[in-house]
Amino acid sequence: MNSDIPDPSDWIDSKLSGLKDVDETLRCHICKEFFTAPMITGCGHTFCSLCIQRYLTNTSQRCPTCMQEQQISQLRKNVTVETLVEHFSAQRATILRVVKEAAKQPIPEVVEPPSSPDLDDGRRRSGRKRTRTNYTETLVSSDDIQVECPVCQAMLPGAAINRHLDNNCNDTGANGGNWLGTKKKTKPLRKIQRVNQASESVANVRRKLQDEGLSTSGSKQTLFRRYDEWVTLWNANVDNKTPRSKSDIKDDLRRWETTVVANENAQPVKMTIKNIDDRQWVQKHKEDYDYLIEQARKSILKKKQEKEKEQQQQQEGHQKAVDRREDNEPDMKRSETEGYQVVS
Amino acid sequence: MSTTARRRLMRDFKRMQQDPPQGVSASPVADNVLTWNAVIIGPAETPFEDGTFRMVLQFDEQYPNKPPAVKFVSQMFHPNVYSSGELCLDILQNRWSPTYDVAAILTSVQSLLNDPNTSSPANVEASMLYKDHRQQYEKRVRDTVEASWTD
Repeated sequence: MNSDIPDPSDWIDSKLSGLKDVDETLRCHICKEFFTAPMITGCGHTFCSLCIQRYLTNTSQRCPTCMQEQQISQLRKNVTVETLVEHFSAQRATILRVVKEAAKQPIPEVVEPPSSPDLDDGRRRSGRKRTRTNYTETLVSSDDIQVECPVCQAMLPGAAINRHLDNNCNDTGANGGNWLGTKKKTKPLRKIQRVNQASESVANVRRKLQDEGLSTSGSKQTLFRRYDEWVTLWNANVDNKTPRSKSDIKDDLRRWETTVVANENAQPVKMTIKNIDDRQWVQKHKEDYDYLIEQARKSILKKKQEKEKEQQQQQEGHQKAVDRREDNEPDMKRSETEGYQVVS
Repeated sequence: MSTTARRRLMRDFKRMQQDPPQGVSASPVADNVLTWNAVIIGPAETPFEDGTFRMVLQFDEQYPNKPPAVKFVSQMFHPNVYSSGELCLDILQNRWSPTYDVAAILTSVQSLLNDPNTSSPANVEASMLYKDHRQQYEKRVRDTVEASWTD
């Protein structure tokens, strides 16, 4: 059920558990996916273009991370992070596979080739062997990073892999994606202006919707919200390195109307939860709760064991340090006395 | 249908399975990813120690831009929990941020247990006992802990 959602926790228990933090850093704090068209706020936090625009438009004009005031006009592209995500996500499946395999075997299969002039810049620490594999390189050309889809084995640019997976590998050719290899020179897409509900007439918004080929039915509020969401979706798409087609964005808008908007008229969550009869609910879900209690208890035990192990290791380390000091002490004393003697 | 909210919730679920915070657990109910059951074990060295407090979380399609509604379905005695089981917790209301996930919500509720906010109590009696008659307060809490074992 969950195996198709790559998550930072995938690195836990692998030989490179530190990559969990790298993985997490390259993800949007709102959707928790790898950044799509990352935008940096005035306060220095980065989010997907769509996530942050949608949030600033509909929910609050504050940065979701530090709560400082933010406006859409302050957002700037974070090009370095975009490239980082591209490179990391292109290699992720391979690295994960390699480190998981390595975790099973005590001795790593792939060892450093005797000479690697491309990397040897003389700064490498001696004494510690680093492992490096060449087989990712066969998948990657330095110019246009092509990656293999872990599901259908199709080759496509790293930037397109997330969307490709989201579409269950069905997008190849279906919507004429830009990554198909035909490098057509297309006109750069332009962002569109938001409308101000206070100063814009309904007729104007209706005309704008019509110009874009969107539905013009619904109340005044519906029209404004539809256009607002259209601007959000469209402008986020423009920020994308590989923008999608207009009909794709129209599909997104339709999906938004049939899920988010349609559900606003449903019972608010507060009411749904109020109407729950506690006793009945607990009885109906007894098995679920028993299982959850077991899981929660296990997590306490696991953390306790980890802590004990850590303390033990620390103590052992401390003991070793003490032993070493004791071993050295006579020498030090001697040299101190010698030194003293020399001075006197 | 996979929507932004549902995909995010699947992600939250994966996180809860692979990297759960200590002493909490949660999962969506069988037929609806928008409704979750959750359990918080009362933290050690507090009156809530070892309680198995059951909760329900209700999300909607606006998650994570809007917080879920959260309530205890176990009996609670706490200054910030209404008799209905609903919580008065700032991060679930005006201080909500879309960066929070299920793990973050549950950790916040967990730390609220032993660190109540008595300035705007949801349960006046619990708040008064907590401030002025701590022993009686702890006794009442222990009662709910014992009750939680037989839920």
